[in-house]
Amino acid sequence: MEAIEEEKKAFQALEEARDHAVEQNIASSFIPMAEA
Amino acid sequence: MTKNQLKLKLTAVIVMKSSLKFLLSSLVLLLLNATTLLAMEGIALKKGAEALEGELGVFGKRVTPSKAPVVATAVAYSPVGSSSSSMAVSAQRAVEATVAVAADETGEENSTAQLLEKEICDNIYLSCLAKVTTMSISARASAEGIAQEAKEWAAAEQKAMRDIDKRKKELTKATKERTVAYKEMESADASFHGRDYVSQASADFKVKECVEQLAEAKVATAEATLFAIRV
Repeated sequence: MEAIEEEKKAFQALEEARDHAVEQNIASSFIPMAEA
Repeated sequence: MTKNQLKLKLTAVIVMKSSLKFLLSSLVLLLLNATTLLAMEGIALKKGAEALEGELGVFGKRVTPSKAPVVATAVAYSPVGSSSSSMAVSAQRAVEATVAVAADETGEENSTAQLLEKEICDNIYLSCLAKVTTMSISARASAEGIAQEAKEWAAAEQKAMRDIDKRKKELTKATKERTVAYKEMESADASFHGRDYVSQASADFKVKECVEQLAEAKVATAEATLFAIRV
């Protein structure tokens, strides 16, 4: 049970990291357009 | 005395003994049959008297139900014939009939009760024997079930071991990717590559790090599963 809980936490952390990476990617693609 | 004379004497003695045995057994059987016939006559007379009592009400009393089984038993066990081929069976039946009649005559129903008890015990014994046979079959079936269950547990153990190997390979791959991502993040220079590149490299490293942590957690889960199967 403990291992499964750890796995869940790791999965949630990964999801958050991916979301952050996507946001970062979107932001980096919008800034040049705004600058232009 | 010669040998031949001795042999002749011995043979004569044996023949006499055999004849005596045969005569004695025949006498016993005759006596038994005679007793049975007398008993049958007694029963028939009694039945007739009871029937008359019932029809006419001469004595003003009813036939007690407790005596009915005794008469029925006597009729049931009475010999049908007295042929030489079924002498043993007839003798046994005659004895049983005599016992039943004796009980009827003396008013003691112990013998009948004993016979009935013996029959009931025999029936119970046969019933129990059949049940025990069925139980052994079911026990065998459950033993097969236990063997099948053991096979299934062994298969589950093998699967858990394969799962651990697979998760460990995934962890190795995730570690490599995380190392590459770390190097890219470290080599990224804001002044050279731009600020966005550095941010993306950092985010990518963070994702790879989380993937590695997830792979580690999966290995731990697989190991815990194997442990649970083995215990």
